[in-house]
Amino acid sequence: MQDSASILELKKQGLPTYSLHELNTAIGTLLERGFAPRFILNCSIYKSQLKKGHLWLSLHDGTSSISAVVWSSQLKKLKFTPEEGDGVIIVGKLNFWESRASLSVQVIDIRPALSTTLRRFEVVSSILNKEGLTSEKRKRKLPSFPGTIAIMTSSPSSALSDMLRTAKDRWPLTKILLFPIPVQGEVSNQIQLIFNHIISTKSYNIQAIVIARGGGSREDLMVFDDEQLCRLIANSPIPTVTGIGHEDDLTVADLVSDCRASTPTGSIISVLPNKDFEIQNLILKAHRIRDFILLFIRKEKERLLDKNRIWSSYSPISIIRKKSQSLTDKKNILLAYSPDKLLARGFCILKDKSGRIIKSVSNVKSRQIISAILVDGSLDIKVDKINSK
Amino acid sequence: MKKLKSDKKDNNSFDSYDENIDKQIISQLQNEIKSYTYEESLSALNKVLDKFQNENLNLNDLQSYYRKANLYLKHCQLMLDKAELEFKEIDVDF
Repeated sequence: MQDSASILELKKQGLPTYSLHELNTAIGTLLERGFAPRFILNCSIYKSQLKKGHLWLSLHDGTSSISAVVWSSQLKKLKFTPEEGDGVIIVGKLNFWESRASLSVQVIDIRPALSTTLRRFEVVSSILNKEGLTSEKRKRKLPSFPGTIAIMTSSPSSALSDMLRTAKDRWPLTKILLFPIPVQGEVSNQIQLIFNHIISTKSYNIQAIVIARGGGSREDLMVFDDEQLCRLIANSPIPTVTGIGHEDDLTVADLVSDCRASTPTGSIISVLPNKDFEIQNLILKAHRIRDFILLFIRKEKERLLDKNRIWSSYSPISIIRKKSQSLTDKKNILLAYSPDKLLARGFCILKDKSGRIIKSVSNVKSRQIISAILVDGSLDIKVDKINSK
Repeated sequence: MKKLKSDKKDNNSFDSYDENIDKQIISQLQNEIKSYTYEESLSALNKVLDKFQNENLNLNDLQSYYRKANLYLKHCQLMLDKAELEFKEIDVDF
């Protein structure tokens, strides 16, 4: 009775009286009017539980916590499914259930925070590194002149336009097969299916696979850190090239591919030869061929001249000339020893009456008549005196 | 004069015999080369260049290889001059 009296007293003082329904409705109205219809939350997932298709989460940031829910209808649209411990960025609104005055955040969109992305990169790259899948030794050489390449990227996109323009300028001889892929969110399975389709369809005759994605935030590239997708790339029978994000971005897919280019355009530069360079190369080869032919002809001409010289030396005229020369030489020698030469120089030849040459004083007698033959005639001489040596 | 003419004819017939065979080979190659990829043609060209540098070729071989090298070279140049990017989009539905 005393309590009823005190409550009546309080009512008299002007305190409002609510039924529970009225109270909860009033709180609901207050929250609705006084709170932003949508807001962004930076937090971590403390607990995650799927119940009847809805995902129930406990969010916390070290000092405070709140529950959150992703309705099944929204869950299907999300590109990222958070796991416990993940840092996330949530777009949400407040959800207040009047019947039990329960408050939670209704998740409209959820994305991984950079910390989550980098953590996943570290975890997956560490696993694959231990298995040797990121080893430089595994990396294969890209084909020099690929006949056909596959490009896996989103279509249409500016990255694709840049890649096609580069391919056209650089090496239009290579046929390009484009396999459009989703590149944002939880799309690893879809990319894997397309990748499997490419490597298992031999009729495509693909010689290199380019996996590319234009720039975005590092969180947007998280699908390329997916373990299963990266295993598939690492074990691809066809050489792979990645060109994902900006120059500074590094994903696990980059680590396991055969060649990592820093951008989508870079990936095309890595896989296709340079047309201008090749044209120069062909010109050089044409010069080499011409130079070789000229050298060959010059050498052959020289050989022919040598042979001609040898052949000339064996010709009958040449032989006659040689013999004639030899005779002339001999004749000259004979002439050099000719007595006439001696007579011309002032010598004379002495002969007796019978014409024998007198070589010694012993062959001559005193008062003997002998002949002295000179260059221009002879003298009959009477020996006056004989002096022996 | 008559003899000279006949000698000349004989020489020609001898030369044209070899040339005919060579022309046949070159003609066959001309048709064959059309289906070559750039890489195949370039590789064949490089092989001829290797032969030029590493083998003692006689004049007949040289002529033949020179013609072949020119065909490979022209094929490569033609491919580069006339190439247009072939691009096909394949949607994989699952």
